[in-house]
Amino acid sequence: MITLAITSQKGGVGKTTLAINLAHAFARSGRRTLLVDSDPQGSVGLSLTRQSRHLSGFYDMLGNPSVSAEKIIVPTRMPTLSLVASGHSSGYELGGGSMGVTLHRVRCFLAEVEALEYDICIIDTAAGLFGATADVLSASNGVIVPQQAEPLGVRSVPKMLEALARMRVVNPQLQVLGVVLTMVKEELAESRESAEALRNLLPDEMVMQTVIPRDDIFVRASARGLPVGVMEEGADSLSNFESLRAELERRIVPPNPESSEYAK
Amino acid sequence: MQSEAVNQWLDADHVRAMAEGLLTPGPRSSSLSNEKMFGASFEGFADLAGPVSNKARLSLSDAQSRAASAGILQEKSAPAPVVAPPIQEVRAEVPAPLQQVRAVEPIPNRPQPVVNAFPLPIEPQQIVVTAERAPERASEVRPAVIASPFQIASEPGVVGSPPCETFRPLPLSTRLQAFGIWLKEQIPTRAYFICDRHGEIVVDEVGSEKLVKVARTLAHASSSAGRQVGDEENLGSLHVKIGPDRVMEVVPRHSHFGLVVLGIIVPRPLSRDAVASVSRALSTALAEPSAPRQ
Repeated sequence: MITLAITSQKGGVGKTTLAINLAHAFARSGRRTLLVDSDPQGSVGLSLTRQSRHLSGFYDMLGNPSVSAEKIIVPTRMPTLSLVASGHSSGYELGGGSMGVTLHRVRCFLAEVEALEYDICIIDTAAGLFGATADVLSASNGVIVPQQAEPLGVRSVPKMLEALARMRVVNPQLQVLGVVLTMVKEELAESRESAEALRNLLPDEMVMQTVIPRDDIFVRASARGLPVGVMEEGADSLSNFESLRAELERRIVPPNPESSEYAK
Repeated sequence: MQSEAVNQWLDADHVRAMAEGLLTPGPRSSSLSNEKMFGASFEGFADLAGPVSNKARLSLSDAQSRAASAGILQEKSAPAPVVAPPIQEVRAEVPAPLQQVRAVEPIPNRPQPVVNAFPLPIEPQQIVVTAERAPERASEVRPAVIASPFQIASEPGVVGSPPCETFRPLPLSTRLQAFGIWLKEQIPTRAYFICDRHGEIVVDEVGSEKLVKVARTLAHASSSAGRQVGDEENLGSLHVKIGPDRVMEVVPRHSHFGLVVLGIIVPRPLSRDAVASVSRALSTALAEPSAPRQ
């Protein structure tokens, strides 16, 4: 199984949108996909299900070792796509995570998910590379970094790279799969230039060719609790995320090439 | 033009070098090197600031041996160090053995911390703060008059003398150890912890950072309230329901270390008298040997 974390230092860059739609794209491709919400705001759950507030989830698992992965995985209408909501994080927020304990539980959770024969686990994280997000990154195989195509986004790149470098000390296996430019607005010079600046700044291998445009369809999809690819007018977006998925599949180096579904 | 705009805000060469460094594959390894020695059941390190925790992380046995050679972990003839006796029902969930190691370097202006390398959590099932005090059962709280913990530390020649006056200067660790024994003799204590205002653990049998945090929060609130009414000595006590048959009594106490917080896990709230006695005993245990007893 491959575990991918969607993370960034900065908030509001489109992590949840990317996570939901990328998970949908992987599930459409036939991969058994689990989308996990590790953001205490619970944005994935709030985007996709009205019952999310009542669901036990990721933080319940962190706070209570007896909460198994099976108990918190929620199936969707798509047989290959399941969810884990954020759950109730008040206990974690009150006590914080003991050093090492949260990481241990995240690892145990991922081992359970792998035993349930998922091919890929996509974890949406809270902004900032600390706390539970750091533990998720410590247990992940790869990280995808959405980056707003705006000047502020480009300026925050050094901090993001520094944080990722620190994470790679903790988890040397963490593969930085790349930066995904999000909220690209072609008609806006600053957005265009920011995207170009980021491509000039970073090595080619670090910036995904596929970009996510700023589009009202994301707001409409969120209002209806759907991935954009499911919307009637979502064909372009669907194709966009399919393209991103294909790009990622080419980049992903499976942790155990012989045994991985990805090697088949 | 574009590069100039970027370079004004960041060092493009440095950023590129960092990015290239991130693209190089890391070694294939499944766990952190300093975790390997603990095996698959390793639950993690206790959060501790400063060099003591780092030493504990690097080598528990090394810390123990250094503590022993420094005379902090006592020989078998001396009283045992303040080591948490395992709590039976929690032990079953955590296969790793619980070991606590006292800090090697004494911290001059704080109680000596105890490093809990393998935390044994007592997870609160529910937390309800209440000021109500249930009457105690005679079988659970023995003391009509709670004796000083230092009676047990007194030598034969001083038995019979008032404990506070005949108290022989003893190290803080021994005084706290005596306090712990006394506490368990007098009160149905399941486990207890003592920490300072910053959360530095002095004694910890509970292993729950959550409860320590709750206790500190209550203690700070009580201390602030006491300051406002001009009664900083009498900080009162609070109890928190943490499960169907568990209550944490929080006893804050000012000392020359600053605010010290005692958390005791008991089946039900203690009486005011019992809390007052515990508070006095804690104060005595924390007082500097040369300082007058309260």
